[in-house]
Amino acid sequence: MMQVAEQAGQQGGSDSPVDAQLGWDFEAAALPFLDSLYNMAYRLTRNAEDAQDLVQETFFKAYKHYDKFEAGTNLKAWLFRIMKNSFINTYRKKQNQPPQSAFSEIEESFENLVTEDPGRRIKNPEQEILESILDEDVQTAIDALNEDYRMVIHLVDLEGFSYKEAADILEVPVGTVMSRLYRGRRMLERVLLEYAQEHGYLRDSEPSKMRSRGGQKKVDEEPN
Amino acid sequence: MGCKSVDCEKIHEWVFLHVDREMRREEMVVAFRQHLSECPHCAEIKVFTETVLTIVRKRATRQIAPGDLRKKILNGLPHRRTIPVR
Repeated sequence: MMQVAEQAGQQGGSDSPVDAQLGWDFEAAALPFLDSLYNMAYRLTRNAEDAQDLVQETFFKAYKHYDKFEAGTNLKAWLFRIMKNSFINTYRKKQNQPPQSAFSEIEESFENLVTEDPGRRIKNPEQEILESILDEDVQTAIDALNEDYRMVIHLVDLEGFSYKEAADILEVPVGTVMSRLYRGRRMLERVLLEYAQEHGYLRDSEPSKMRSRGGQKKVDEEPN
Repeated sequence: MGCKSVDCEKIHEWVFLHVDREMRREEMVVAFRQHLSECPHCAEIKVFTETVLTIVRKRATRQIAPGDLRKKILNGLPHRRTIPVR
């Protein structure tokens, strides 16, 4: 386990640009986001110990650079961006990636999905079936997504960031956020319906309930 | 489907914009709603999409930060070095 607290002491030492008052301001403003940051960290690292280290690193980096934070802008988004960069720089290398075969299967399912017969219809019972999905199934389905999709779904669907805010955090164009959301959510739908089938809510012989998306894989950004 | 001013494929792209409240141009909103009123297939897709997203948003596990993490962070902030963390 990395010595985050010791690092923080070095980062926030006497040469820190953050003076005491700014430190108190930071604490009051940033600490309310602790649970949100931990939740995202856990989603990224997939274990409690690394998640705690990542959150601490995020707070200490943010503290060190808080004098550069532009008052009136979105502090939560700023903290999430720091976390994303810390994760990429420090933690991603040691992460165990999702089993490649599992993700490939999801990707393959997605490719099949988007080329399905456009005339296929949704049945209302699908919604009832989805209501029967277990919480752990939702969690497993999200965890099975690759990192890019998982991050954007977490930011938009679980943290409530707008597309623009998510784009700022991830430092990608808004169109990329939309495209990742589109593909990630479609994969989630597919996987959740497959769980429903595995649990017997759908019969094996029943045709796929998933609707066609007309082969469109990239969502155009809303025109200005 | 073919009977609408905006085709179904475009509507499928717009469903997320609509459910995420990111559809900012009024003419898009009008075209979207008009299409749904004329196209049961796309209307079902919209309802299905909303159902899935509601399930994901409500049921995805939310981790709560361990109690000692807050204390560790506060103890590591230099401005607190001389003040005990409560």
